[in-house]
Amino acid sequence: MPPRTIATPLALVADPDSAGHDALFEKVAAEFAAPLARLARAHEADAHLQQDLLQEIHIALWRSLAAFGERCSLRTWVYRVAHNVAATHVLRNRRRQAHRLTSLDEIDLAGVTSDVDAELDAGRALQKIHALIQALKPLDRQVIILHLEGLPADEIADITGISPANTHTKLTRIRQLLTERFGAGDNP
Amino acid sequence: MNTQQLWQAQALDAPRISLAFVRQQSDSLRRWAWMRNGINYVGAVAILPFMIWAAWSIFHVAPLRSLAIALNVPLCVWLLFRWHKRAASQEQPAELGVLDALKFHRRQLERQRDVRLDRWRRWPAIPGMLLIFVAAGIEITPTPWAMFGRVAVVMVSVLSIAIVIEERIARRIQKEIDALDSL
Repeated sequence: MPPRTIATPLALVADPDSAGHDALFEKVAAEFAAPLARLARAHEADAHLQQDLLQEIHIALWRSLAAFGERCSLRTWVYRVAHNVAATHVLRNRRRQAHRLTSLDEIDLAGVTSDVDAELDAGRALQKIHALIQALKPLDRQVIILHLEGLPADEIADITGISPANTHTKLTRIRQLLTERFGAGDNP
Repeated sequence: MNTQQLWQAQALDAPRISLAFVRQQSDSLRRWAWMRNGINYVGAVAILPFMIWAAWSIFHVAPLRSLAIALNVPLCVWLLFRWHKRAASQEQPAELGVLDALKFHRRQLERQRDVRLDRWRRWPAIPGMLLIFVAAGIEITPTPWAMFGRVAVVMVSVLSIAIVIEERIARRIQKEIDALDSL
């Protein structure tokens, strides 16, 4: 299936001076399309709001790339900006979310039974992962999403701004949680 | 398949968002921020030329009132500057980590709350207004006490309404801060 494109309401002529900026944005939009879509989906259950969040992330990326001076890797930069937008989105919409957000430490492991047949169903397992993520507080949510995207602990600490030691603690808890709930280990 | 592989393999209809769309939206946001800041300042700045004109036009017939009005001009500029320094919105640096971004957001909310709860930030306007009353009392005979009373009532009412509105806004901001702290 060809990628869907959101049409522009106005025909805009690109500024020739910003060709490098445009090229960088095009590269980011192509390279990170799937991770950003997964990020939006993880933070927002409503399909329409997911689309809004994704657009907000792209706009923030477009604006921020002008300041990208290769102080960190492009991936770190993209995730930082995207996660900041997503965190703001969660805060802005918290009144709409009636349920209380919990931290990783508050999630009960003991009461969960692992139904192997059900968990083998990838669709159901993904639904459960999304439900788990959406119940978490923004910072824990960022850490678990970045872990699921396969980022190393140091880069997760760099993106979220929490200390490496705290990141390791959270990651240990996340691995324990995912193993208990889904019965499948992750890459360390 | 572990959960990371499952996560990364999930079927997604990831849309490609066009560069032109992003540019257009970004320009709209910039225009909107410019308009919002502009409206805040234009209202305050618009009164300055009026005060200068009023001071100039009555200089020959009422020099004391003219002087009193002229003295209010730098006071207004100072009040505007103080408002800009304490309440103007600051743009969040893009490169902040998520934790720092949340802290930045909280600091911005605190700034907005504190400036609205500071009832005494308008005190420099009081001597300026009193000066106009005193100058008018000296220059106009007999002293128009009834008019002074009406003007004073209007000023106190406007100030009281402004304080009530700003306290309501400050309470709303405090709720946002509390919600942020609960996360």
